[in-house]
Amino acid sequence: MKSSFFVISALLSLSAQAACDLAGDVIMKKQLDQNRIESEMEIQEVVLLDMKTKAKDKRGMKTFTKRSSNEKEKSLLTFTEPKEIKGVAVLNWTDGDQLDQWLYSPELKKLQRIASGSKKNYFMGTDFTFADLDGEKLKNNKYTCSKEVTCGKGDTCYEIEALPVTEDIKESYGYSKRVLWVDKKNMRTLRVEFYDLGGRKLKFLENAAWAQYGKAWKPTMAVMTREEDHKTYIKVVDRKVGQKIDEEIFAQRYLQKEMHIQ
Amino acid sequence: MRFLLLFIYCFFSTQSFALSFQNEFKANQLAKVVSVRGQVVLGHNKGRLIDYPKVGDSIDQNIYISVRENSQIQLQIKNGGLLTLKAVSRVFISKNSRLNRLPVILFEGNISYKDPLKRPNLEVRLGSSGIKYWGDAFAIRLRGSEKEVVKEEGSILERSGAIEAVKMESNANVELIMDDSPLPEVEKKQKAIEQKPKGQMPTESSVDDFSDIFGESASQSITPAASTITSDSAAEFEDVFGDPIKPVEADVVVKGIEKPKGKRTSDFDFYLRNSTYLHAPTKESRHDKQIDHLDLRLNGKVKWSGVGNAVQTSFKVDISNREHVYRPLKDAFDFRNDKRFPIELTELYYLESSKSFDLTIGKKIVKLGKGIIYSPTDKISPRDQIVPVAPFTSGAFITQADFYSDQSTYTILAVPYFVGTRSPTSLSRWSLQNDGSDLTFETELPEKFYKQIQLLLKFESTIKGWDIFAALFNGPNPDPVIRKEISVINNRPEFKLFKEHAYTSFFSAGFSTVFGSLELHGEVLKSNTEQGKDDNYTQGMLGFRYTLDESVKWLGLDSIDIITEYAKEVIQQPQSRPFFVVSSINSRIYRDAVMGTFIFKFSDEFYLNYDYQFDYADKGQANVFGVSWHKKDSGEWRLKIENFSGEKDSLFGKWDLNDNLAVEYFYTF
Repeated sequence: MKSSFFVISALLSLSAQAACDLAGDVIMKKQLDQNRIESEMEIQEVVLLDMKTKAKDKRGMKTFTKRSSNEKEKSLLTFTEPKEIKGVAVLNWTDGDQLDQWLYSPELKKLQRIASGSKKNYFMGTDFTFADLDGEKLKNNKYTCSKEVTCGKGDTCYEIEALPVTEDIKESYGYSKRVLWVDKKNMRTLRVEFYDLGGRKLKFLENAAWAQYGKAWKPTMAVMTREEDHKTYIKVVDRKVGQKIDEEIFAQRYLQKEMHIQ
Repeated sequence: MRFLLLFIYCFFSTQSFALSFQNEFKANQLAKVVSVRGQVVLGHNKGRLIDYPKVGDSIDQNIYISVRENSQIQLQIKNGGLLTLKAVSRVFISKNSRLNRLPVILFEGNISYKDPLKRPNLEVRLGSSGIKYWGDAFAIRLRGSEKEVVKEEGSILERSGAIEAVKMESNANVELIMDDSPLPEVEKKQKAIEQKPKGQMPTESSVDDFSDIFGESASQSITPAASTITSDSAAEFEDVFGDPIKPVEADVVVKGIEKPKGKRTSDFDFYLRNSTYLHAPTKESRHDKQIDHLDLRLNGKVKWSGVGNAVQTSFKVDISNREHVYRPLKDAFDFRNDKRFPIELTELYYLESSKSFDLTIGKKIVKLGKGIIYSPTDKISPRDQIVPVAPFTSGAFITQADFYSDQSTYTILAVPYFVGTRSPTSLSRWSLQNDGSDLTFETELPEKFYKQIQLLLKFESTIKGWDIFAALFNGPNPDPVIRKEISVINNRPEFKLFKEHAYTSFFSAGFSTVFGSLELHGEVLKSNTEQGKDDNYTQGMLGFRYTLDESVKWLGLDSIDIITEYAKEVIQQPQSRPFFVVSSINSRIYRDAVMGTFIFKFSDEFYLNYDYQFDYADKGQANVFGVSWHKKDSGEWRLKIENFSGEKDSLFGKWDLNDNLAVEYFYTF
């Protein structure tokens, strides 16, 4: 009797090892905290691939991001390619729920305040919606770690299910659920699967070629595959992290004087 | 027994944590900083990047390390060995194409190495002397101009015995080559205690396609950069590392505002428009009677960016078969001429920029207002509306100073050389006169020189989601008034007409904000002209922009973009000065009008648009129906039907016979 008790205890211990050792929301908070970066500059090449026609469309982008706190962030996105949209820029100031957003068009020579459209809309013809680019909003989701699985080259990943906490959020983001795979050792989100409002798998994102900046890890490659007919590839050509980015880059004058066009 | 299991589990968990530190190395990682004291500088010759390392930082590229006085850095390499670099030392760590070899070149100073498992995985080469040693631990000092290598306490070099002082050539260095294979025994233990998770992450993947997309393998295409701080000071770099660094232009240098040195960019685009009129002018009319008008326009922009300054120029070459549009070559530099010249220098200005101040001098397009279709406030840059369906804005000759404080801008702007708006000429199909009479005007400016200068003061800010501005403006009004002068010649009265840009004061203000998905903007302009030469009036404009997206998907549309603006004018005092016969009212076309556009976007390549202007003051309207098709690398085609109608004396009524079918082509190269 005594020995069978120990056997059961041992089995329980082993089965506990296979389950997640942390709660989903704890993992996601840890992941966000560890990978938070105060300032960042990236030069990206984006290729849109139509899998039916094999047609490729290339875009060049340069992004600057500066976070002064969890709530405050400023970012500037400028297009460098193709020629038709070279110099078009989007400036964002986020302070909590307040979002100030401007669009600069070199053709009109005007910086115009714009309202953000639906988060479900795809950004500039890519397979990323505005919601995808919005970053992970912990308060908008309930995270559940279902199990630990093998991922990458023998690594272990947490498999986390993210469910919108309200119907409104579900409607506005356009996803009934997402499944994320976060690697246990370095807290990197290696893969995300997105499910539409009908519960069907809509697309999946893969992040790869990771680079480490202090504690934070950032992918230098990302692929979003949508419904087997369209893909978006993002390659980070250059990235500078943790540097002092002058506040002037996020000022309206920087665009109005076309200092971003170089 | 249970406690024993728990103890074993805890023991291995702890052990796992300790060992995992050594096994966290990535394939391309060279070393990791485990301790830093004092001032240590890391440098990378590409982009002249300088870094001040912290504990935990990763080194994964060729790197120089310089340790200042009273300083020290300790690095752990992949095999678990510890490399210690002491005060006043300089080394270069490089990637080696040979697997698991880490070469470190010591230029000067003190360095020590220790393998924790006492494996003889270190080889030491003393310059070109041919002397080699290997072992598991050493401490060495390279000193003086004679390059004397001195073994210090702690060295365990198996085949050399004790190193005595060895002299080398003055330009020689000591090279340390370490076998940095991960610890095999450790890996085995690590694997043994790893949990074996059930299941696997989905294996479907698109990552391997990267090589097809970007033309290189995923691993080759990415060079992850370590955390770095940029410096644009080559002198500092040479001071730190001793050796002159070949200048390598970084793609982007971020230090404050981007300041690439001597960079030039140029952009060109081509515009073609063919208009086929659906009606001929009346037989009695003296207007241009051609049925087709072809316009070709080449736009160019060149910019030179320096450190905190820039020179930008843009120009257009405009060719058309329209009559009464171009001025002759002899008047090429008569910028105030009523007609345009085929080559127009749109902008040429110099910008000097600093943290809180900008100075702009030259010819530049200045836009003040918040309106998208109509901005009553935009009174600085002259508009060329000779062909109203293909207008453009040219630069004003300005001197502008902008002062910045937090989120506010204070602007002082002067236009010493005034140029007015160009309107359709009297014999053009777009003339504002019904009868086609060939009237000629002489252009007049205010008599006093200082009144010929436009002066503007402007304040602009962003406060709690509102963009606001207010401006004061004095100078010649771009919209002219008509003065009639009567003289008696040979007992007969003769009339002479003058187009006068009367001295006017404007006060304007505007805003732009967002409510949910609705963008709202507005402007107000109060105008007072001296001596009653023009009407004194107030204009207002209120508009919005709204995008329907989700609700139109069922129509196969990507979105419908709606822009609508309403403009209203109130005249406080009509023109009253004797001999001033026509006020600027004909140039103020939106006195009670709604204008806007609907853009029906089916995809990035294809969209329809409907543009409209309803003039309730004079009872006229303009409607434009367009189809646009954009193909990557092939430019954009637009097909338009432009329709004008209204009362005989209304602006759009005067263009009643100008309904046309237009084909436009736009190409950027």
